Amino acid sequence: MKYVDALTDISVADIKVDLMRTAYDNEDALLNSFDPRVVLLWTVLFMIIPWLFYDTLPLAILLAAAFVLAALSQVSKYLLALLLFGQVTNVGFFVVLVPLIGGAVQAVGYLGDNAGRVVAGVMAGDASVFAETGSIVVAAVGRGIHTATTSQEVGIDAVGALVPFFLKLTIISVISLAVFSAMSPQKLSKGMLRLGVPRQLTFAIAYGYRMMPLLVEEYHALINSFRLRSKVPEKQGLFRWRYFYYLLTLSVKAFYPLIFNVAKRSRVTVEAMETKGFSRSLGDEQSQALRTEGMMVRTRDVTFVFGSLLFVAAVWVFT
Amino acid sequence: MVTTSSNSSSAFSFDHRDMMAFILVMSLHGLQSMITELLPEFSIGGLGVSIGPFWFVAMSVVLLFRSFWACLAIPVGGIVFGEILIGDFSALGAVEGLIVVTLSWFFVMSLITDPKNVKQIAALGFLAKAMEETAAWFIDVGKFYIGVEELEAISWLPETVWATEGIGALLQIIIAGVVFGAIPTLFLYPRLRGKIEPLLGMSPLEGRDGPMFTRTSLKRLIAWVALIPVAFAFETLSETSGGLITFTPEFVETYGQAFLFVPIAIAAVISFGLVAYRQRKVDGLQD
Repeated sequence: MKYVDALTDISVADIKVDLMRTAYDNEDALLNSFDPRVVLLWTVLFMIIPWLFYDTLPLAILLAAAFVLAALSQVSKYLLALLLFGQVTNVGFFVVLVPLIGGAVQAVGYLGDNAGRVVAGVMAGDASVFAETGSIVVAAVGRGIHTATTSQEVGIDAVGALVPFFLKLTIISVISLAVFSAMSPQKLSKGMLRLGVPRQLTFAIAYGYRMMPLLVEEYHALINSFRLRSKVPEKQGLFRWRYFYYLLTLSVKAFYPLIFNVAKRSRVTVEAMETKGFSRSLGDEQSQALRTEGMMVRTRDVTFVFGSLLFVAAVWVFT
Repeated sequence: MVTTSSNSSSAFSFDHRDMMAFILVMSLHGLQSMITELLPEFSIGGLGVSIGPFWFVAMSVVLLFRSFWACLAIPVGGIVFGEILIGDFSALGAVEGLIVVTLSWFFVMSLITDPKNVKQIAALGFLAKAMEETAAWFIDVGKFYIGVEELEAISWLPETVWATEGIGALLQIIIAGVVFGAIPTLFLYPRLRGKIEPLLGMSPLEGRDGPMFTRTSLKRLIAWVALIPVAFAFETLSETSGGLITFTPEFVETYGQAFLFVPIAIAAVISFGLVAYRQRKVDGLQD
């Protein structure tokens, strides 16, 4: 499946398969073979490192490296496309919207400056005031348009200044995408537990991983059953809005039975956990040790961290 | 003030019922955030108009309970399902959501006087969403002041950023707070109240007399105001962590850039040696 195809032809089933792969298929991902604590530490380190660079070239090299890492971690293509699209629209925001709103702000400011004169004229009962009002409005609009058009350049300049900024953000997003797609939930929560994150939270992560496919499946089944029992609107309407509205109401309604199902499920979960002594084991040192035994930093972890650091240093020196 | 919720102790106590409410809210809100996260959004020049998020889910479920944990479950669900599972996780940036969302809802929870009154619940849900977005608006604008240094250089740029972010926040309040928030809540909440609690082995919340705004509310509002700067600090750290650090150690200037390899190499050799030694010891024990 190529990236272009991933964009043009997306179905719910594809997205579901992609999600499942992202969450569960990480047996042979590179990052999953390291000690989770080391990987977490490494991630924090590499969330800071991009900020130390200010030029486009080294940042582009780092981004390429991040993409290689993402490819090794089997990152979902759909998510990657979504992420990149978001970054591109951020840049678009500066080119299009900032000058427009800037122009509007200028115009309103000009009107406000001159409103006082108009009010004074109206008080005096001056007839020429209306002509003046007209001219003021025209001037304000003119100024607004002027700002909007000339600052297009400013906007583009701003983009030039912002390219490194967005590159940094993209690098960080791609890296975190790679790390959290690649790490299996058990390893992630064990690593966090060992680093002192409270167990209620690591439990939430593990539970989320376990429940996600069930919940998605259930929600999808509910929507399908609603679709079977309802009728698609006869007229599609402009841009098929009726059809989309119908789908939207379905997806809202489908949450109602889902809420009850999840309530029952959460009760069963908690009861099962309490039967196994979840609350009692919370503050217990021994249980902690039992849960995180078998974790050890090995030489390959060290090689990984310092290898990537040396790579960054090389980029720093040779660009 | 006497709370008449299922547990008559404070809002912070944690027992198995709170755990159930926590898991319930977390799963539901997490699922909706994951689904709406994956739906493509139509963006008009950077203003994202997306379907959802379906805030009615959290609105109609959270206000059925009266505990801090139900509020905390909203951002946790969003983070676990919408970020960690998808892999789009910003560790420090998540703290902003944790603080702002939890406190907004926790404050609004204290204003409920009549849980049977659907209009009151929907209005309060909307208020919580509005508080959240307002806080997020201030934080986002503050980020621009710190992250983009040339902001002051262009005379009208700061106002523009204020206006643009404000419009974005307003759109969110209307879309997430009203269209996908308060309006579906009006239909959903009365159909849930009194049916869900027995499933979790609780009794529904009772109303209370007196004014909406009590001393508890005041305390929580003060906490909300006091902690926004903290949330801002975390968010700024996550977005511009190194922008605040200008990193040029002195030895780089003295010995040239290639010297940068030396400290890294030394650290590498030392830690490699230590780990290898420990590994051999442990493996030796196992043999």
